[in-house]
Amino acid sequence: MQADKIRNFCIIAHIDHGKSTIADRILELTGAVDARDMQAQYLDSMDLERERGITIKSQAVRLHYTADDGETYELHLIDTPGHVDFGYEVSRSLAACEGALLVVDAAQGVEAQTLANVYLAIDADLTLIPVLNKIDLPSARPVEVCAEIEDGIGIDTANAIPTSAKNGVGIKEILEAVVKLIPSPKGDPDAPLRAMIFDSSYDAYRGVLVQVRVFDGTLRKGDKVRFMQSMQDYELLEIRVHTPKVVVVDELRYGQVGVLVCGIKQIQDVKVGDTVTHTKRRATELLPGFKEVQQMVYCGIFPIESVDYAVLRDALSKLALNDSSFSWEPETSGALGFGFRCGFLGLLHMEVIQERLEREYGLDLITTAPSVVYRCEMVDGSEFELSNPGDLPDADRRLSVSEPYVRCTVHTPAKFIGAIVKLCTDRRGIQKDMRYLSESRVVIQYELPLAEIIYDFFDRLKTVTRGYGSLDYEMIDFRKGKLVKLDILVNSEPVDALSLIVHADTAYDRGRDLVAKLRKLIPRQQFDVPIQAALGSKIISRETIKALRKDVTAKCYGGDISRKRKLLEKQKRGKKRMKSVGNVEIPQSAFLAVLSTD
Amino acid sequence: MSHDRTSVALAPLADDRAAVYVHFPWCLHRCAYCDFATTARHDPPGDAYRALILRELALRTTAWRPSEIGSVFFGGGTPSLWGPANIAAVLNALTAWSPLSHDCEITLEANPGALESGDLTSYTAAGINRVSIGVQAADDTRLRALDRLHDAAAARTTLREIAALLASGALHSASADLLFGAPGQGFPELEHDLAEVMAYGLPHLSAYALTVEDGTPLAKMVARGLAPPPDDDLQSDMLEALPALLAPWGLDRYEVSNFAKPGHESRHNLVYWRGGPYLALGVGAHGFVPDSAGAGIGLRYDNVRSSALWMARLADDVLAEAHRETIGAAIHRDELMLTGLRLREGIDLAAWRPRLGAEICDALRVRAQLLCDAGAPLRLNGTRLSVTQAGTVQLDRWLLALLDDAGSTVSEAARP
Repeated sequence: MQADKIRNFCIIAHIDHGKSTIADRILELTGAVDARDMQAQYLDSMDLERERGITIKSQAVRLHYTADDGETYELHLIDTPGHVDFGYEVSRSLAACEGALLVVDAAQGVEAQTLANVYLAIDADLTLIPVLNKIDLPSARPVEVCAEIEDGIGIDTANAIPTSAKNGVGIKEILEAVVKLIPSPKGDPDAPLRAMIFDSSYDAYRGVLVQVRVFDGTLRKGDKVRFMQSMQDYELLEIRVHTPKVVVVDELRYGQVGVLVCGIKQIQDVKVGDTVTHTKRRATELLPGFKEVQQMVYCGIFPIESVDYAVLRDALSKLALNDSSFSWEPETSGALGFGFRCGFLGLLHMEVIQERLEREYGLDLITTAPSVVYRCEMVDGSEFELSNPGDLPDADRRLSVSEPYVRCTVHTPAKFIGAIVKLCTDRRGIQKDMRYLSESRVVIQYELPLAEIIYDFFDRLKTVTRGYGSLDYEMIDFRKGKLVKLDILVNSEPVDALSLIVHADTAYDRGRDLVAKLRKLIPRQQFDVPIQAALGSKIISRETIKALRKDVTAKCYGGDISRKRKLLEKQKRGKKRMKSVGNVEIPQSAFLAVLSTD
Repeated sequence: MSHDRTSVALAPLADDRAAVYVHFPWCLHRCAYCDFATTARHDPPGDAYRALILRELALRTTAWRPSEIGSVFFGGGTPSLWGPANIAAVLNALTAWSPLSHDCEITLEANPGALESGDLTSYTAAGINRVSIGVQAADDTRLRALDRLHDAAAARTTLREIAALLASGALHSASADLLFGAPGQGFPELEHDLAEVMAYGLPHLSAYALTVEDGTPLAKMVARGLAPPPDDDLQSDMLEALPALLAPWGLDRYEVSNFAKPGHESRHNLVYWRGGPYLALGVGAHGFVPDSAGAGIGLRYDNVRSSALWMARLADDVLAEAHRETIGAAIHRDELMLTGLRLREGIDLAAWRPRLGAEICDALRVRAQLLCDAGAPLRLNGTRLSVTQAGTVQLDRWLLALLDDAGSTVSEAARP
């Protein structure tokens, strides 16, 4: 296929605005998938993706489309991950394209996440084709939404395509626009090979599958290739394309997209954004835009039954096979025993992994409250990062603690501005910008500590805007803050898994609230259980869970005497110990209470 | 009054009157909260089981011959499914071992759902003179929630029949079981249950706080959040209120969960609580008999809980015990305290001297005096020690305080 007949494009849309449905209709119309094989949202292959309406792994599909001009074009539809946690992966997928469909729900209008990805697309110089989906809805307001797109994003909507993906309306028009408006890939067929990795996945038989877009030169089966960032050489065993059925091809020319099989065993060896070149005839320059993946959110994951530790380890290593962006290492907690400290790109990523552990491996887990990464500068000049609040050194040994800040973009109907400003201010936010997209819609920008938004910020935002607000955030930097460690003592014993790092100004309030909350969540025991919050050695708050009032056996007859007497002996032995050791059952809800703010 | 009974020195077990417990392991249905040795079965093999009970009796009674049998208790399971002929046969065999006393209390446990009209009359003809009926609640919704098979109407029918048999003198006494503090039962419902049952003039009532026992279906439901755990505060309030609620019918608390008109205290159960000997026969039954080898005060044994295994062993003429333990003075002290303090009459330390020795009894008395002085809800009247009504809800705690050999100070133990 000549490069001038190739079109590489992706679809940018907010969750639920219909990206997957449009993709499905395109596959049908180009004959790639028979209607009878059609499974809703074909590209989202994981159950979880289908259920949650999000795409976790990118898929690239090669389609053939004969346009009205009589020519047959080769289209590569690159499906991008659709969530704020995967911003970098999105940017790489976008870099593999020349154009993008900007799908906006004609009733909902522009939302924050759409906007974030649109800016990424504009940065990548993509040609944007606005698509107004769901025009069949009675609540559709295409004129207003077009105005929002023009005002808010600054792109012309004169050629916006009205569609109803559900009913198959406008799909043909979309494909014609793709062919006419999106430029063909530019590149140099004779230059040394440069292909960009934009995603990877793991196959039990083939090893790591590497998705690439070729920019210069040609890749052929059997080539010796080098991954320039990771400095690894491989032999190219097989080249595949998805139509969406898997087809093996002999080569990928510049402008084309495909999957490389190189017998790579560990997905961690494959870095998204890396440049693939030939081992012999090497490119001199990397493709731009590479970044190391950075985990933003950490939590401890512990099996409820300690015998499940090995199963959990096994499950984590299997999940890690397919996901290079998540990290895990053994961790020991005084309260929870043996488990793992896991790092994630963001909260959604964390939830997805937790859910898969419970669902696919049948594990019962205790998850500690998520924490961000802190940077700690020590008195002796050394510096280190920590993700477990329990690891924060004592105040007299540290010089400063820094925490990550994010730039938050909130889209909201104008009437909720007050509520959002209050929410952001309560979370230590600094307002940076507020713009009206139209008379009724506003975009507000805040800089906020990541720690303040990782738990329930999004839920709170949805609540105060009655579901109309949308949120996007990106990392900006680390900033020093008056941060202190708040310890929680249950029955006079510190429980490491309940420690958290908080701002000094709010430490007293947080301590008091948390202790009050724990008093309600921890069940009554046979003895009084004090719950305390402490800053260093100073107790700042205390409540007592009263012992059960009733301490009498209901029944005791002939058959019970031996059993009750043995129980009594156990109690006699355990009585002393129970006072000193925190022999208290703490439910999962208590660990998550640490971060909730209700 | 029961608690003023003159105390008799605890004689060696062998000289005592015997109590006999016979277990019938089958029910029509197993309730979610039950942790007894019970299997649900519609056609229990009653005749075969009777033959094997008689074999166990023969195997167990070679070494011990008490002066007389003071009580027999047919428990379960649902022994009212066994049939009067089998009950009569067992009583006959027991008489051949040792005579039934003139006032022998012979109790049958029964469930309202497992009794046909007229059944009770034929059981009294077979020798039963006391019935203990598992009413549990007097409301259909709550009975279903408790996973019981019978309904309130069935319970009323049975209670009416019992009242008639009491009036005619065919039954000497009768008791009903009620559960309290179950979900859906507040004070008004408790009072309704009591009124429903007491309206039939029963002289004895057992009222138990619903307890979540490990390993029962109820425990699993509570752990998964499918059933609410019992409300500790409500159960405590009810436990404290029960004596006043039952006073109008003339019933007194004589044990934590047992209430009776004077003279209607369960003699059989008093044997357990006062440390007397009892022979136990049948699947999962627990016995306490004299130690014929002479090493200890007595022997405790319990039979296997599997009906199939028990029956197979007895068919081979071998006992089917799961455990056997020789009880020495130190252990027996704990047992006597554990059960004796549950009684309103408490325990008479002087009476224990022959069995436990002076040292143990004197030490207990000193510790009890110290705890009393420190304000614990205990009463030491001469050598008689008891827990006050106010102390009943925390009984197990005071028991621990009294038995604390580890040496925690009295003021620590008595601290509220």
